[in-house]
Amino acid sequence: MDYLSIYPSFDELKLLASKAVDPNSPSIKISVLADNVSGFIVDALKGFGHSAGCNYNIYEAPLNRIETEILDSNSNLNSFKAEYVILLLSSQNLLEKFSVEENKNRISYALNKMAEIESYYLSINKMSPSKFICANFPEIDDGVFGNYSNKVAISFINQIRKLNSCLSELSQRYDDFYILDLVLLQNRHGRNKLVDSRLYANASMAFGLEITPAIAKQINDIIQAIKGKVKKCLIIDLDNTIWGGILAEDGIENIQIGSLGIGRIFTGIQQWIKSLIGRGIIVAVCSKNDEVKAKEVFEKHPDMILRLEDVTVFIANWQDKAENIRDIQKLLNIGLDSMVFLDDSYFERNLVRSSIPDICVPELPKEPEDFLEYIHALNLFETASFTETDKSRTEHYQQDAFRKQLANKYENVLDFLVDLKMTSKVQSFDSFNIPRIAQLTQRSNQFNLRTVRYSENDLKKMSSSNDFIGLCFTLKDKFGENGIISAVILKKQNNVLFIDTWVMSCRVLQRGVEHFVLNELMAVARKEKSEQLVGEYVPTKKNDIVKEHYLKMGFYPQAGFWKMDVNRFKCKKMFITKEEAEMSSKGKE
Amino acid sequence: MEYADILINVEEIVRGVLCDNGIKLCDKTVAGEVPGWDSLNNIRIILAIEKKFNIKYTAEEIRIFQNIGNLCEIIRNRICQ
Repeated sequence: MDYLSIYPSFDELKLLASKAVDPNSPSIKISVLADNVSGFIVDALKGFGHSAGCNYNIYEAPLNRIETEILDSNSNLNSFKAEYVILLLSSQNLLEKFSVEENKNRISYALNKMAEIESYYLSINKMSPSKFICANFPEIDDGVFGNYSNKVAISFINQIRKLNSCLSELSQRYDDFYILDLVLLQNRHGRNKLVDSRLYANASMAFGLEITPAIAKQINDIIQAIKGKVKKCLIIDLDNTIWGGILAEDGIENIQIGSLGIGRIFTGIQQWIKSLIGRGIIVAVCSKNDEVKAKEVFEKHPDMILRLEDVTVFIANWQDKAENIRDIQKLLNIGLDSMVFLDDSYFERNLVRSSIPDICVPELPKEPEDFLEYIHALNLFETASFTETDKSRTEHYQQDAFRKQLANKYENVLDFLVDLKMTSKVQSFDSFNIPRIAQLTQRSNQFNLRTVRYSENDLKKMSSSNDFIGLCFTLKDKFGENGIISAVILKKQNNVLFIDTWVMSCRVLQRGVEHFVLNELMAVARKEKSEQLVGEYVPTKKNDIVKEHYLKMGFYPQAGFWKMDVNRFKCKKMFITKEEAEMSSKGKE
Repeated sequence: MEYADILINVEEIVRGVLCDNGIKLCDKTVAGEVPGWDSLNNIRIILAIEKKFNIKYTAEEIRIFQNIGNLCEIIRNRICQ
């Protein structure tokens, strides 16, 4: 299968890039530093930005001026102050420099190169903080040692692999250091597709033209994930998607999973889905089947990798799949554009796609043995965070289902809220909770007043600055612990506190959490001797539900902001008790 | 394919890449004379020609390509092989 066909062509992207910019779309500054001609990658990236509704304002440093641009405080790079800095160093250059090194230097080539790149990152960040996206190095077989390369520390093959491993370590050490994985691209498409030696000789192009959309897409995927555009839910069909055959016709003993028939292929698909669940992706089933018989497979079939507890919403009936999917969306309360639907049926895919344009419906290849490679090539599950909360996300959503069932039993909402026995722990930011808070700011779209996205590094800086006060809130009830579900960042401005960030997980709406939070904010304001809390609502396509938030909280509008005088605040009745007051001071960065 | 047809096809490709339907090419046209035909667009044009005629230029041919006539001549030789 030609995986390059899944990307738009360079010509299509260039056309998009040249279209007039919508003045309302967010402008994002990006700088590119390279030792090879990167013009095509930049054009393709602009095209992807356009289709994602972003205006990528890109500064391309002149070829091979990396060090001068970084070190000169007056350089264009440092004046531009981009939000993202992309470093593209070619494997070809790496090999050329390696070839002229003496053996005694070759042994530390990878480590030296890593130190060099680390110093670029640190210098750039000192001038102006940004997210650093560093391309790793697709392997070149320099043909010197053959398989024996592995047994010789000074072989190029050994050093380039070591360097790639070092880059991974750097990306783990520094929160704002990201890897653009070109090694993955070469693995998928092959070196022949990645490199055109004629273009390298004539135009210093490290990559062929045809692969530039793939490279640009990888960069775009990273940026969009950081911006919070991630997939949260996978909806799967059953027959011929996660097992071979049709349950209603073949019966539970004859569907192919495990060692039966081509079952191994479907076992592989289920194993991948299981891994996604461990990473925090919610799985829902949407199948045309009898519900009891379908669930029986998950409960009883010995070769199933996926079990009922892995599925957050299980819909099996004979109704229209688009309607079912809308029901799933309402239950989970996440955006349609954060959902992916897998179905082997061309008919069902088209039906869902045309009825729900926002949802992602991969056009799966005809044969199940090709499904996984195809889906992986689409890179649907890029992310910018991974915390402990992700591992138990399915469990959390299932607890939500119990809560909803309980709510239905009460006629009076207030009785339900009392009966939940909710408690909340209030904490300031520390090294333990910052990853989860960063994730909340990145992923929350609905209950998000100003939609400012913060990385862990951003939060670390704020928590150690005297100008900011950060608070996060957990929520526990008789069904379980929800973990941290809300966060607020206050900025001290003269004698008022400005609410820079107020986010809350959509799973805990309508429980009175906002009132509990406001109460805590007021306590902080009194402690700081501030006269006012000032809030702001910045409208986006997704945060309509908080349009009246400050109004409902009792703030009054003034000059485009919402204000609450501290001495006028009256606490509303609420049903959440504060757990032992714990303004955490451990691990303050 | 006739030489004239080759020239027309090349002209269409160049017009597409440079987004200018007014461009007219003849044998002696040199890339540098045509507005917008910079080194990056040169690459796009050459690759589009390869795709259209199902041929491959060598690194050396890309390097020394002098004028349109030269380009088309190479195309004709390749197609006839």
